[in-house]
Order: sequence, then structure tokens, then C-alpha cells
Amino acid sequence: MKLIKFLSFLLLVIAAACSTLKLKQADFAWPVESVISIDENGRVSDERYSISFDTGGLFYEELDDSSAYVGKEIRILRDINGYYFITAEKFKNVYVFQMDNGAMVLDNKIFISEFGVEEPALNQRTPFIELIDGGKSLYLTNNGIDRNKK
Amino acid sequence: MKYHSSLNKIILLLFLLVFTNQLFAQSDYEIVQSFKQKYKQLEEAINKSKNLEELNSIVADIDRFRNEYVEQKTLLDKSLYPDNFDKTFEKLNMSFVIRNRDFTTIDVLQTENLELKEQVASLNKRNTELMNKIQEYEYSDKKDVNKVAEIDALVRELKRSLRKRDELIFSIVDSLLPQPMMEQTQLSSLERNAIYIEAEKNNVLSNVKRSLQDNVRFIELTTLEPGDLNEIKKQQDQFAEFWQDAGAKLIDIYAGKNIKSKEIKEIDSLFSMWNFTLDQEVWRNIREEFAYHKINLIEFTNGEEFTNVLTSFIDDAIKNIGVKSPEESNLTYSSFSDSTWFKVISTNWVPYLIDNEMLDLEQKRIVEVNISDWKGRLTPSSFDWMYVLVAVIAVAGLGYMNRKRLFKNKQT
Repeated sequence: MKLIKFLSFLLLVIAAACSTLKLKQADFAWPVESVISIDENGRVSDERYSISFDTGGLFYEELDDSSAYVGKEIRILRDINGYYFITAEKFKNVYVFQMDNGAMVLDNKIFISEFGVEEPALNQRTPFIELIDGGKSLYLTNNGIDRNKK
Repeated sequence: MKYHSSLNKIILLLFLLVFTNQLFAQSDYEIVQSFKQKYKQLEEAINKSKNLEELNSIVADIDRFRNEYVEQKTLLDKSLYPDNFDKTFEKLNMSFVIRNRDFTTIDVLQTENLELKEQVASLNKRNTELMNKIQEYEYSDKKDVNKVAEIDALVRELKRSLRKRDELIFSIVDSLLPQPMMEQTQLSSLERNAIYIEAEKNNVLSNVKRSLQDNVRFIELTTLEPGDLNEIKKQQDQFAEFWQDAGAKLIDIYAGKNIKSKEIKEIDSLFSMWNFTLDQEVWRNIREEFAYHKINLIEFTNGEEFTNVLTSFIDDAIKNIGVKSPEESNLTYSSFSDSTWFKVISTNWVPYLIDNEMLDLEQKRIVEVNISDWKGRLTPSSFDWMYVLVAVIAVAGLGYMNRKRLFKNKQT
């Protein structure tokens, strides 16, 4: 019993020592999505949010063709928790990314439609991201579609 | 039955609820973009409005625009970075105020224009009268002191009057082409038409032409001093600056109207003539200055000819030393050099000639080297006489002293 109490105390001390500093109640939400045209090298950049990345991998994941970005634009919106929601016309999925050490790392791939979205649009509806396609709304979080939200 | 009816109503209500929900699912991005687009359209409408009436009609559109989007204010405040909803409307109102000020200025200028037109007409008449009177006096007895004073007074009045008329013409053109319009690189056909009508009403082209003709005639009628010429030169620079801006716009406005385009070309050539007449007046006055001192030179119309005429006159004068009497040679030299060149031309006219690039320093140096050479050739003969005189005096002195000594020796 004494040993258990000692171990619990020890774990508590270790946990306290290992915890990192967190600044809470952060709000990463962008008020409105960015619709960005992809350049000839497959890159997108947004002046207002100072973000820029290569979309080749995204198109390969979605269409098995890393050069299918030509003449296309992507729609990107960041939610309150800092996840980036990305989709584009004819995409079957909405991709959820996180930032990590100079890269956008895929966190989730939310399947929307077998036929692909026709005229997608992303709205900030904190804590959700609303995906509109042809007047129809779906509410998304980084975990997937929230069926409870109407 | 009642049960079915209320069930139908509920189904209809649910359907409408779902349908309207779907109908109103709208992209925030689209809302922001459409707001920006409507803002741009209104801003353009303000800037392109042709008159106050058209501008004022946009006020209602701005109000409608604001009301249409006021419900989206929160979204727009966040999205219109770095502006926000209210700031956007402040900017729109500011554009409205600025454009409104343009029209108010134009309105005031157009009212002033009518008065200016009448003043120009009366000054045109007055200037013609003055010029005719001056011409009459020019033919009359110039020795009459009273008449000379009267001519001077008339010339002064004419100069003031011409200047005033030119300023009025500039004002008329300024009122036709206010600053915002001058800054536009391309005028719309409507703007061009409106200015054309106003310009025609105000006889702009004929007034500009008249002004240039009168300025040429003024130079021809009067004898001008370097000070007066400097003033006219400044006036010409002002006109050149004015014509560079307004002329280009007027050419654009009159493009396609053949007779008027010809008139614009005439203005260009009249301006060149004004410049040419002024230059000729300078050379004529210089020649007259020499003639006044009995130095008759052949005509010259530029710096090179001037230098050549003077140096060849000096060459001839040098050749005539020994042919003409020394008194005559000396008189010619002193009239040319002392009374004319150094006293009047070099001090009064040469600075003007050099400032206006009509003569260069090298040409001035050539003339002065020749004058110095001329002087050098005249002086030795004078010195010869001096030597003879000194020698005669010396010999006479020595003779006298010798005779005195001989006389003393004889006595002892």
C-alpha cells in the first residue's frame, strides 16, 4: 500500500515536471475561408495569413495525380483549434491538416461524397467548420462530420 | 380528416424549414466578395459621375448597400482586413465628398467663366485701341517731349492690359479643364464633348490665337529694353508650360474636327513666331544701338552672324588705319568700343544674349579679342607721335643746355 502511494506520488511529481507551458483560450479561427489559385509550380500562398505550401501531395492523395492542380484553386479555412480544412472543386474529401515543423501534416481525411463536391465553400461556425455544397450544409470538426449539429 | 390536414401542415412546415435552411446556406466568402464588388461598383460610379445630379443619385444606392449588408457586419468587420464595415463606408463617403467638391469647383468656375469671357472681350478691344494709338504716335513727331511721355504711358498700359488678358485666358482654360481632369490621362468621349462645347462657347482657340498675335504685334510696335525682354521671355515660358498641359488636352478634344485642328496648329506656329520675333527684336535693338553711335552694321539674326559682322567691321577699321585720318580712326574706335560695346552692349545686352543661349562666351571673347587688337594697332601710331615729341623736346632741351654752357664758358 505504501509502495502504491509512493509510486503515485512519484508519477505525479514526474508528470508535473514534464508538463510544457500552454497558453490557453487561443483562437486560431480565420473569419472567412481563403480561395487561393494554385501557381504553375503547384504552390499556394495567402498574403493575409502569411501561409504558403505545396499542393502536389494533396492532389496526389485525392486524384492520384500530383500535377492535377493546373488551373485549379483550393479553399482553406482554419478552425478555432488551429486545424486547417482544405478542399477543392470535385474533391471527394475535406482534408484536415495540422502544422508541424515546417510542414502541413494530414490529421484527418473526411469523406464527403463519392461524386465529389461541386461548388464547395467553407464557413467558420465555431466550434465547427461548415461545408456548403449546392446549398447543403455539413458541420465538420477535425474528427469528422458532426451529425448532431443541424 | 382534421388529423390529416394538421399532419400535412406539419410536413409542409418541416419541408419549408429544411428547404429554406438549405436555401440560405450561403458561403461567407461569397458574401464578402459580393460586398467588395458592390463597393467597387459604387466607388466607380462616384468617380465617373458626370454632374452633381448624377452624383447625388448615388447617395440612395450607398444607403441601400449599407442596409443590405448591415446584418453581416460581424463577418465583414473580421473579413475586410485591414478595414472593417464602418471604415469601408467612411471611405465611400469620403470619395463622395471629394467628387462633390470637384463638381462644386467646376460649377463655381463655370459661373466665373461667363464674367471672364466678357472681360477678355473688353480687354481685346482695349488692346487693339492702344496698339493703334501707339502706331499713330510712332509716325508722329518723336521730338515732342509730351508725345514721347504719352507713348511711354500707353506702352505701359498696353503691357499691363495684355498681361491681364493672358491671365484671363489661362483662367478660362483652367475652368474648362480643372485639375482632376488635367490629371486624367484619357478623357471619355462625353467629357471631351462637354469641354468642346464650353471651349467653343468661350472662343478659347481664337482667344489664345489673338493673345499670341497681340504679343507679337506688341514687340513689333515698341522698342524694348533688356529688362522688358526678360519679362516677355518669362511670359513665353509660362505660356509654353500652360500650352504643354492644356494644349495636349485641347488637341485630344478637338481631334477629328478638321478646321479646329488646323487652328491648334496655327497656335503652335504663332507661339514659334512670338519666340522668333522676340529674338529678332533683340538683334534689331542691338544694331540700332550701334547705329545710334554712327556705327552702321549689316543685318544679323543670330549669335554667329553677330560675331562675324562685328569682327569684319573691326577688320575693315584696322585696314583703314593710315588710310583714314588718325582722328577719324580713333573716333570710330571709341564710338564702337567705348560708347557702344563696353558701355551698352556688353553690360546690358550680352548677359541677356548669354542667358537665352543666343550668344556664347566664346563668341563674346572673339569680339573682345578683336577690339583689343584694334586698340593695339591704333595705339602704336599714337606712341610714335609721343616718341617724336619727347625726342624733339629732349633735343631742344639738350640744345638749350648746350648753348647755355657755351655762353657761360664764353663769359669766363
